[in-house]
Amino acid sequence: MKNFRILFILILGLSIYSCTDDDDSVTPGTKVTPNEEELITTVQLIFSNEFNVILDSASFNDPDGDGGNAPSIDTITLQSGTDYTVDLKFLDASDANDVEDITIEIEEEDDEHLICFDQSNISGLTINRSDSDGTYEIGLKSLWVVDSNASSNSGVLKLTLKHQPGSKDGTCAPGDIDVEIDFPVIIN
Amino acid sequence: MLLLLLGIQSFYAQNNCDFTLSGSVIDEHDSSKLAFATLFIIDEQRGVSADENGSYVLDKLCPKTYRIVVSHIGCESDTAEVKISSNMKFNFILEHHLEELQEVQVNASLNENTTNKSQLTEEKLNENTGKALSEMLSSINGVSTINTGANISKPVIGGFKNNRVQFINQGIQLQSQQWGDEHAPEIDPFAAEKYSVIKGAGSVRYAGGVLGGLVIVEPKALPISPGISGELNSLYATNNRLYNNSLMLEGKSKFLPKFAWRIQGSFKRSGNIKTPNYYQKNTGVSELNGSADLGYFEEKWNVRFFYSLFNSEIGIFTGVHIGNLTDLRNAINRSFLRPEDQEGFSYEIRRPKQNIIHELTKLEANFYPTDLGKVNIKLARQFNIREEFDQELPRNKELAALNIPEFSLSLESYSTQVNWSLPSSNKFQTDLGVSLVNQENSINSFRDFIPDYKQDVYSFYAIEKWQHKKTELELGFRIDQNNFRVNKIISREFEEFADEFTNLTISFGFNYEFTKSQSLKGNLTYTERPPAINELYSSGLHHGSASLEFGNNELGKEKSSSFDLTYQLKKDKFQYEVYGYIRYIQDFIFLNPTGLDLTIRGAFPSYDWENTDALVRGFDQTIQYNLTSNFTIINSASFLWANNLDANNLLINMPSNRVETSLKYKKSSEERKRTITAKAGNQFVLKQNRFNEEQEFAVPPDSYSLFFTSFSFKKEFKNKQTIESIITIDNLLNEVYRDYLNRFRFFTDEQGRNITIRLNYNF
Repeated sequence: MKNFRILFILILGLSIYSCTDDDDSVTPGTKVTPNEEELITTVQLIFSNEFNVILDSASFNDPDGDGGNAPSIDTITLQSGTDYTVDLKFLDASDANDVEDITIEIEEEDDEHLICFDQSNISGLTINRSDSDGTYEIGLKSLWVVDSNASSNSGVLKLTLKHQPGSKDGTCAPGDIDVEIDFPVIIN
Repeated sequence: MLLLLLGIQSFYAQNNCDFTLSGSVIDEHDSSKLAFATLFIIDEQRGVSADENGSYVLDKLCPKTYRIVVSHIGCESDTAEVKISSNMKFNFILEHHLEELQEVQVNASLNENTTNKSQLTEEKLNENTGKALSEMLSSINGVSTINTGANISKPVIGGFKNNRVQFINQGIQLQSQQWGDEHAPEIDPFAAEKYSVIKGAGSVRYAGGVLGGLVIVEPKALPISPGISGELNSLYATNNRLYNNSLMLEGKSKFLPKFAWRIQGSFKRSGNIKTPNYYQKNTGVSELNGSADLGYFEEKWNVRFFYSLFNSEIGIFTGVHIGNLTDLRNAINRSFLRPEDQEGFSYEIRRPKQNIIHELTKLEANFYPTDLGKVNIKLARQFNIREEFDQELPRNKELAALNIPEFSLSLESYSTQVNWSLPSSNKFQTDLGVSLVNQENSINSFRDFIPDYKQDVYSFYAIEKWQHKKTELELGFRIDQNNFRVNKIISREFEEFADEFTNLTISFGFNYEFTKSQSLKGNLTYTERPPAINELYSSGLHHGSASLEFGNNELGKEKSSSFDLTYQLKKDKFQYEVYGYIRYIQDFIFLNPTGLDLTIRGAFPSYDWENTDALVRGFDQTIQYNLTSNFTIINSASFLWANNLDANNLLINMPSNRVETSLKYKKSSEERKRTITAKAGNQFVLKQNRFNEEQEFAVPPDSYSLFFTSFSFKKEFKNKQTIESIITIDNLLNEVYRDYLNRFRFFTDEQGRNITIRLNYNF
């Protein structure tokens, strides 16, 4: 019976040990602020004329990131017979009070990034990248030439930001997709 | 363990209950007397211990048949029937084969005889050393694997995996991030010696809600005779230039006969895996594991301390890194390797990769209080760190310089388990148990696919076993209470959730032996499984699968009713086993495709965790025929069908049906003390035709046929030393193939021909 008593004391001890961790709150991990991951929530296309006067802009916006609320996508409206200088901005606007400009980071690593424009059901629109990393184009700045007889029949412009570390060769093939947005296009 | 009756000598007859039974308990191998072995008369619930010379005396016996359980440290106890008609001498011989181990969990009279339990044979173990645990287990018929490339694999039992399969390592439920397909079990195969799979949910002792099955990993018994012995394993594989070395030392001092110890360590390194046509860039693995086991054995109690550390770094093939659905479609349609994924052989492990650490500390005690049966207590702490590194560093230079994992989790678990095996009375045996598990999961990265949470699990179980002649019945009951407290980030704010589930398991099993060569066993089980953390709260992009996954905290628990049946026939030349099962699962939790979700990286297929009703049935069959005394032909087949009843379609991601045939030659020479084994065979895996077209990114890969061969030579020396050398060749014909349950099937072929040379030295 002596052994049994030892056993009983042991089990009692265990139960107490099991109950000591009764703190009801969950301690968050070591992350300081939530959602600090490098997020791109917003892409802006800023259309200017040759005198740097902003004519128009179009943007993609998904401040709550993947899932949740669906993103909003503007339609790009172009005037036929017009030339545009287009500046691209990539932003992290997940915190409205602290919008981060990711464009700067892309510029810092311009030899690893390429922006590609793919048109479908659009005619008479020519897009040429006008910036360079020293060897290849980047695409943060581009020149859009809209012919006088240009048209768009439910046209779509696919804008892709490719991350091509070590494999950038001026084409869109290598690397992985960081951003891919289909903008509807109207040409007046 | 085998009990052999040596000799019965009657002296003189008596008619009252005053006979004695005396003799010794002897080790078969070296004929040494086993000190302090225990003998227990089941019918009278009393027992004695042998003295230091292994001698025992049982007195006050009546002229009838007694059932006596004989046990010794490091041995599985067993029951012998002894008919008393006079004062008798009876020597028990205990056989200590190396492959036979201590049943660490409980006493052997309760070893799940009514469930389908398959153990990896020593032969299969030796042919598979160096492989990951799950790959080793897949040599058991009916067990397949889900793979993430060639280095990460998890067992699939009866079509179920992850949350529906539990690992019992050292008698403790493995606590890690087992919800993910790409989260392999953190167990070093060299740290244990016995691997079994219990198919189905019939065993209530270890866990509830085990719809697929249990994987039980048990250590070797600690040594019983004084001296130091050990085992050295060394192997090299040609395909990925893998080398794996393991050393185990164990011993016991003459001066401290009650104390035994073992230490073990293993080291593994491999480089890029070669498909028949190219190397997979960045597919190396580095592993460093160690464990220590200490035991102190008294006559009526013993304690055992165990510690193990698992440490693994796994490279992920760069060719599978994809940004979105467009990338995935391009990868599927690509017939060549992108220039950036081309590389020759290299041992280097870069991003993307996983770093995994798992630590287990366990204290276990057994008590054998007189007249009270046996009590087993386990206390354990498990600590698991999982770090996943993306291919690319963050764009931000300061962040990139830190080189931190993009996804990092730590899980700390404490568990307490008490099992009480009541003294067996007549035909009955009762086991009662309680367990408490407390765990806390912390997310240490910016990415939080699953949230921070705490979970408490309170469990109680009772097992009643009845045995009479050829029939054995087992009734099991288990109740688990799972309490979650979750801290999830929603719109940059922490939000708290609490979920509670009470889960019931009731199991009824039988085992009937028609004759010595034929038996039928079956199991009728109802079990409930609560939703796991990922099913409740996952949210966002599941990296590597290029899909969005959303948990649902309104999910109900799964309720499974299943019937399992096993028929076994063992004749001289012919052995046959068939295992069939049917499971109806109400509120089966599955990933339901909900279409495409738009994100800034383009469209991703999106899935919600939902409940449905499902029906799964299948069978595993093995036929073995001895052609001559040396040649044996073995054929095994595993077939499975699974349906989603609510959606009136199929459950996808189920293993393909398969058939394996092999021919074995074995020749042992007693006088030369050597054994030669040669084996050749073929595995044929059928194309999975049971899929839902709208839910697959690409049609399942074609059927494939793989040939394998192995040759082993074993020599025994004096002092129990053995040397065994084994050469195996997998994928002998260097076949180009892909498997449906490899998540990398869209991107790359499977491993090509692989020749492994193994050396095993026991001393």
